[in-house]
Amino acid sequence: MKRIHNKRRTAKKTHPRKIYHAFSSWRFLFVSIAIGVIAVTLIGRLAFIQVIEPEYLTQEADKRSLRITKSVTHRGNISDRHGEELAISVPAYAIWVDPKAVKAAYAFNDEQWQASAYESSRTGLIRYKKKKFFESKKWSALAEVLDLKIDQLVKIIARPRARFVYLKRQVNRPIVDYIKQLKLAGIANQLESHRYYPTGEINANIIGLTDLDAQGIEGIEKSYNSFLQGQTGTNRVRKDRLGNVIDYIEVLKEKKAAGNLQLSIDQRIQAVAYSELKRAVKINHATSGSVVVIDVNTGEIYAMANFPSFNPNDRSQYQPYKLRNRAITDTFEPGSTVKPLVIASALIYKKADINEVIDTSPGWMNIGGRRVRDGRNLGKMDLAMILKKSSNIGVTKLALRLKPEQLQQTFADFGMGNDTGIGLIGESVGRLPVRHRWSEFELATLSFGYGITATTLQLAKAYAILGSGGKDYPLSILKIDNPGEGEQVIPRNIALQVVHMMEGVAKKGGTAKKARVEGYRIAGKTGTSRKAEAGGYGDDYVSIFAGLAPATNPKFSIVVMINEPQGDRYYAGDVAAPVFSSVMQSALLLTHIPPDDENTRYTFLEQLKDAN
Amino acid sequence: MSALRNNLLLLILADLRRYFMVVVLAMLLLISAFYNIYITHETRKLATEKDHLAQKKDNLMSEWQNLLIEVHTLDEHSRIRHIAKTKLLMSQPTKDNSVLVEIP
Repeated sequence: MKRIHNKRRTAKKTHPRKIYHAFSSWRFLFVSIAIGVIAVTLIGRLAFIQVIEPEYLTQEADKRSLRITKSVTHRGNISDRHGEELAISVPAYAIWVDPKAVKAAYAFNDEQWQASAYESSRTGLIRYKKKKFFESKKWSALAEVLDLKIDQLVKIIARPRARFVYLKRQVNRPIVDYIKQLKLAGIANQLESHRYYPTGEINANIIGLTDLDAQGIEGIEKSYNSFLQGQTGTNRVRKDRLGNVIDYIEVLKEKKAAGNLQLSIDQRIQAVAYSELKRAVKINHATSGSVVVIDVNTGEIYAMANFPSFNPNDRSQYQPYKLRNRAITDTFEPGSTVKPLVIASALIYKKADINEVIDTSPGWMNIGGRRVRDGRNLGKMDLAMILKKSSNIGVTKLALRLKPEQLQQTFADFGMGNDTGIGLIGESVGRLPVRHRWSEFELATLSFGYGITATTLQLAKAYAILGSGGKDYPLSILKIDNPGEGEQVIPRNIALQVVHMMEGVAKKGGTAKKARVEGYRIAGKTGTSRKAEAGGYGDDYVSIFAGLAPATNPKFSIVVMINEPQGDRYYAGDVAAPVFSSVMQSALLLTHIPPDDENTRYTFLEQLKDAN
Repeated sequence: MSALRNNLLLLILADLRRYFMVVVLAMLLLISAFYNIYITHETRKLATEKDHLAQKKDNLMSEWQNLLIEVHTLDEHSRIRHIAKTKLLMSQPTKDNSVLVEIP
């Protein structure tokens, strides 16, 4: 080896030195052309990419970096007048499965498992692509956490062509995190929102509820659906390798914030109203009942409770008859509760004098062959006494002095047969018959509340008009800051006189002593009307108490309606009046209305100071 | 002359001086280009931060809503009434054991 090397060296040395030219033109030419060609190729390629056909690469880049992101808007909250939430939306998740992906990764029987066998190229051993479904503990864990049976799960996954099946909706965060950790093939989650009602059955009838796709289907949720809804926005963004957003490209859909609704409901009063109503309905074995509390000076509804109700958080209880907001949908004949309106009508049209005394003896009278009667012979009475004793003869005599149109007009002024302005879905307007020919007997029955129908809310509104000194405010379920000026539908002095007359009802000898509220003067009227059935009036009753307090300057109008009380005590004075009393007391105390009853003594703060 | 001509450095300097404006413009171009890169980078950082903050806000909102639910489930009026009556043996004051305070 070494020898050969040396030989070569010696050979080199012996070789005569060849002289090269410093500049060789063909070499220069070659290098120039080579560099030129390379340059042109590169520039050409560059131009091709940049100028002639840039779309392809742009598209490829966009495929890898452009994403569409969602900016989720949840449904707005509903709160009461003090800002306490009655309906809240929280994010929830829907768990869904792609059965095809599951079938690709898991074997349900031995054959499938055997079929997935393949030979590993590296080790040469037999391996299986699919795992055994039933031997995996993860699937039973999933079934358990989703409250499903494993058989149900298998049935869902076995569907031949399905690619998207909900396993469970409205699942909360911890469960989703757990499922994520299971890392099961074909299982994914999707953000949605869950509506939660903290007050449960108390407000269920008025607020209503939403379906699984967050659309209002009942009550306020439906009436104000578009306002509460908002809109989920979508943006086109550029993301980097790590998934961070690096550029906002454009807004595809504007995000609209959902509106929050503030109701006029005072949840404290509402809670009392509901629990008292529930108790009364149960004690009297009644079928249903409603309570409405209205602020007479603004038309705001402070409470509106119904029984039966349901828990909107538990959809398995969902039954349409429980869902109904009976205070606005169900009409009944108001019975004696319209008597104050008849007296107001007689005073308006100057057919009666405020101090007039009417003889109701002998306690019955015949009109057109039909008989109208009182419970007993009540003798001579003034107008206040007629209300206090609820004399049918008394109001009949007043009604007969009026023309039918006049009485009808007064009823219409009090809002009978007309909507209350509350604007909720399903409101019924009742029935105020309008015709020209009235028999005297029909007029008489109209005067004690038969032949017309009204909802609990309408009746409460009629009393609110009396309480506000004849002013008609459109009712509102939403909190209003500036109620505006009400329309004067009844002369102020007449409204106040009638309120004063109604004070007798809770006094000694009145029909509803149980309606009394300690420390306050109340004005009200009972009503016990037989329910009309096919072919006449049956044995079921509707017990109603409508009233105002404090009588000197009314603040609240409350109507209690108990439908079909069973047992011996079905008179409104025993059934509905106690509910009125406790609801009114809570309402007055909670809104800090000073007591107006001169006969009850209160300790004043000043007196305490003096005593010390 | 020939010494000057052969000194490459001096030659280059002389040339640069001759095309001074071009050099300045080239420098400006370069600075602007780098600044562009820098600003783009900063913008992207801000966009990322905004996205993170928005996400954080969403999470906080959702937590807040959940806490609201908890609060309102606990402070539901009939529940408090029940606890007050049965556990704490409280009752509504009557007129005899209450003092009327007039708020002016």
